[in-house]
Amino acid sequence: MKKQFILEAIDVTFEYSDGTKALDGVNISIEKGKKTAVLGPNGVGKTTLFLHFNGILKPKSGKILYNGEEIKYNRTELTKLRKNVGIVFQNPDIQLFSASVYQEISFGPMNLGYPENIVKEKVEKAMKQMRIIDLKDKPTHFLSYGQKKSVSIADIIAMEPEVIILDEPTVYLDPKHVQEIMGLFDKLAEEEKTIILSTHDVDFAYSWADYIYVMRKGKVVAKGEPAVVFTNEKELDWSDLRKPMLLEIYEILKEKGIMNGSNIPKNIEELKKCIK
Amino acid sequence: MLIDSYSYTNRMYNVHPVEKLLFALLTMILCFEFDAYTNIAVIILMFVVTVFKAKIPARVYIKLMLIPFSFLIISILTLIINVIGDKSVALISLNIFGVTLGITEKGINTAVILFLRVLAVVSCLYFLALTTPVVDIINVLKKLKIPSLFLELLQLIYRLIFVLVEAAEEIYISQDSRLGYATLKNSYRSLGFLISSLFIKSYKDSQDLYVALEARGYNGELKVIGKDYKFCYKNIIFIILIELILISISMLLRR
Repeated sequence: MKKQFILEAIDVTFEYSDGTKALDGVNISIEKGKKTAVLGPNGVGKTTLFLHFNGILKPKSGKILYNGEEIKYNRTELTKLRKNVGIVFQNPDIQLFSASVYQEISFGPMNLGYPENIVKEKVEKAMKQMRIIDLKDKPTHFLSYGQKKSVSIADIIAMEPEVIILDEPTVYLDPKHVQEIMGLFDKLAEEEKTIILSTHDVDFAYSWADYIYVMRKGKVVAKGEPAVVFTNEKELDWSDLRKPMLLEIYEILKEKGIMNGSNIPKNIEELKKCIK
Repeated sequence: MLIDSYSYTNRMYNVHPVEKLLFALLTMILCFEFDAYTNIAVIILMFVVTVFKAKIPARVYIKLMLIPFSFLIISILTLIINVIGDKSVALISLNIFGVTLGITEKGINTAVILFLRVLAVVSCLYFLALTTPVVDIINVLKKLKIPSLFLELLQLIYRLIFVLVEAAEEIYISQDSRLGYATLKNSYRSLGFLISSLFIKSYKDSQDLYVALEARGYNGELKVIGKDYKFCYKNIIFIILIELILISISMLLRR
């Protein structure tokens, strides 16, 4: 079966008005229904790239394709694009503009022009999915960081986009929240949603993603399935990343000759099965 | 911040905001219309409703009522002590550099009425502020067709106050932990840094906020759905009754 790409960046270059080159000939193809991680240290243009996917920023050269069609930058087309491609921003304090959780989540669906009763349904559904029904009547400024993060994700889920982009979703979150959010992403992936996230947590990216892009200084320096990307020593050196712990352990065990099977394990359970 | 947190946690949180607004405003109008006795009645009424119905701790409520006192006492003094021409109407008078300063009965009367009226109106406002979250008030104003530009500003300002206060606290703590406020000189310097970095931060945040709104399809209007409230006829009848009682007593006692 031919791969279907939902979002593509072709030779995208972008410069901020102060002259910093944020993206330099970026080529990325996001496969539909897959979990993609964009790895790289801070300030390599991950956020800039994401803003291109949603039509907030327009590339200086190159183009962005949604479902194989180049995106157009007029009002109606952009609204359509933003319905289908949602971004959860890194800092929920900036994304959340309303003092009421319910109002906050209703903003996206309202902008899509749904009648009020449908908006209410969508808001309730998103809150249920994020397990934040109990926050419904709480003011935004009473919430903890993790709760704010959940609300900011519900913001986007309520719009029911095809693609959900998350900018550093796991930063500052406690392990329990990270676990919960990971579970949620898996559920969304089952619903054929495409998920893209940026992170510098290599362990997380390694066991979670179907496909990985590694960025450095506005360029894509490595791409491929996690096991492929992280076993290519030369490229890793180049991109300031370390090897995932799990892979490191696997390689040591393999060297000592106590490993079964040839598949590289993706998580602890798979690793356990591999050990003789 | 204290008032704000009570507005979400009090027992009258779920009462329809229009009812609360109506109660506060109607009572306030009575305070302006009638004199001392009505005002005393309103002060007691608001205390009872806020403390016993909304379950705001009496200690908190009284503390809040004491806040306007410092302003009040200064303005009352200027009302009581007047420049007077005729010494005979003065209760006490004093001659300084050929100007006669004195206290008259009329002056005292005006001062007492003003004092009670201010406290009564303030207690109405406290009732509203302590029981009704800002978000609800904005929703009511929206239904009253107040221009949306004004309301959207109000909404954003209200939300961002908390973001900004949090940021200011963080900066303050980080400065304080490095002895930024150890001496007076240090304090001035640190405060300067704090204010300037807050300005820069709020400018940057405002741009980021705009981007985040745009990403969700913002097109110049903050369209949101408010909370659903149900009118309670019992409450409305209660409000009407209370106001009628207040009006009739005031009429009877009016001199």
